[in-house]
Amino acid sequence: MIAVLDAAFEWLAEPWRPGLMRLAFAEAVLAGLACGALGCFVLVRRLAFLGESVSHTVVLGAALALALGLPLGLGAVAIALTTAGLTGAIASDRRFSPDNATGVLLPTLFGAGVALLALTAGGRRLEELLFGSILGAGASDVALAGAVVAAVVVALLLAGQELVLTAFDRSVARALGYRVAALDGLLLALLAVTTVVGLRAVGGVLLAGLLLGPPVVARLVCRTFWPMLAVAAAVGAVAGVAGLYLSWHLELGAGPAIVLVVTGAVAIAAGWRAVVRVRPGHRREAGPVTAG
Amino acid sequence: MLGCGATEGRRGAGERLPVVATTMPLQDFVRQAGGDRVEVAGILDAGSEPHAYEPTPSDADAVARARVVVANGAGLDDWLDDLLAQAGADAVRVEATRGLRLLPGDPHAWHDPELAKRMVDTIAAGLVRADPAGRETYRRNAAAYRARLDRMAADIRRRFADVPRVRRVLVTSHDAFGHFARAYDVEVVGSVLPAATAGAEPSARQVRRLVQDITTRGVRTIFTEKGTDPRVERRIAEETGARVSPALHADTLGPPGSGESTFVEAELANARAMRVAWDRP
Repeated sequence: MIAVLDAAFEWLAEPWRPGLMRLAFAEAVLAGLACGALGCFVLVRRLAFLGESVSHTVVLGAALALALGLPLGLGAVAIALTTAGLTGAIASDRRFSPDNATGVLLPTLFGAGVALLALTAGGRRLEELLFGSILGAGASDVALAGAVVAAVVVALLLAGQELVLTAFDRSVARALGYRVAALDGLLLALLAVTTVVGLRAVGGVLLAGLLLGPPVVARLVCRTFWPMLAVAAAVGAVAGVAGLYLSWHLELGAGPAIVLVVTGAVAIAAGWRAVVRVRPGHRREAGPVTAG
Repeated sequence: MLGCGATEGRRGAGERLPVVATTMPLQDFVRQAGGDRVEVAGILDAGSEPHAYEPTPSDADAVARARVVVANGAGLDDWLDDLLAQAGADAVRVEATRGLRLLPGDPHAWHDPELAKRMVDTIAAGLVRADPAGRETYRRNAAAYRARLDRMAADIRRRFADVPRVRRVLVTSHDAFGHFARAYDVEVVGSVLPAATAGAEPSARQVRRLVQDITTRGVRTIFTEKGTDPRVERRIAEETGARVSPALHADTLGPPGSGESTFVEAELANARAMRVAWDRP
């Protein structure tokens, strides 16, 4: 019995011993927290397309930054903001739907990013940007991730209610005198820096999974927004840890393993939801998430 | 770009044999064997990722105009097949590693000087097929370059001779030095990106194994490669107390004017870097 406990403990403790793994765990948790939380706003505002766009087009930002010799994060943030702005601009033109905006922007900017990387001798970096490099996370990467999470927390503490109301009912928010454009800008800025951190963790291809998966899980189990945000952040963080365990004990790449855990969580939550629905006498309507 | 091979047998002005070669070492081999009779266009350059390369329209154009197309083979440049199918229908195709017995899963044959000599001969034979009038030139150039490779190999062996066998260990960014290790009696302890990995990063399990191996074997240096950002290498170095070394030329050569732009120069630079690293306490 003791031997089994010992083995289990060893199984749990072993990945934490190497310093680089502790850094990777920290990066994964912070990325999961930020992406999970921001993803809730993206989901509620039916801006999933925006999350998808931004997560792909940061590759272009990274390519530009590399080409100009600037820090990677700077380029990624700049292009994330540009994408968000362009998407919003296209979507606000009544002739186009948000899908059109994504349809145009995503391939264009992503393709431009790949092309630029190939031209500027960054071809070898492309895979790193597409699939993440969390095992290479150093102290400065973790510090950046920590700063992003801190910024998200501060923003939510100071302007959380305003952001939520703007997300749920824009016209009411405007009527109440909220500066809706400024709040939009704040959300987009937070989204931009969050995607930069997520880029390091899981890469551009899978980033949308980390951004939108945890909120989907939370949406299936929560009915009001703030619990949903807390659950999504927690799911993101736990997925980060669990993904690294999978990468350590099995032969999986860390980024894909993290997103795999998120996908599993979505499946479990969906299954739980289905079971809860069909239990006789306990039927609960899956109503819309309320601001609470 | 002209190589430093023999200059006899010049064709008519502007009538050089157009040759396309995939990797930079192959481009150099073609220049050495072909001298002034050939015009070499390269597909891969210093920043390209050879194992998963996406050919561009100008690559297709170069292949279409080429009379000889030189590939490495052994799985390094399989993407060339599609390009050839679409573009270069009637060029002479040279697979430089054809007929060579390579280490399984390792296409970087040119790092073994004996295999490099055979590759140069294969390339020269391909040039002869496309341009029989140049037969004497190509054979002479190839023989001269083989001698050059022999001198390079002797140089490297001399440089390594007084390093104790137990210190002659390599940990590199990716698995490119197996043939080098076999040729020069060096041991490859591991690589950050093992051969079987898809994607840019090893799994945590692979990193854990490498850290164990480095610690067990007392490896002091992790050799990076030119053109990569050695983030994982740095983390592993921090973890094991090893040092991250100046970059080696694994798949590529240095840019023109760097003093490491031919294969011989680059390989000698590799050997110097290894010796310096092994000498450190």
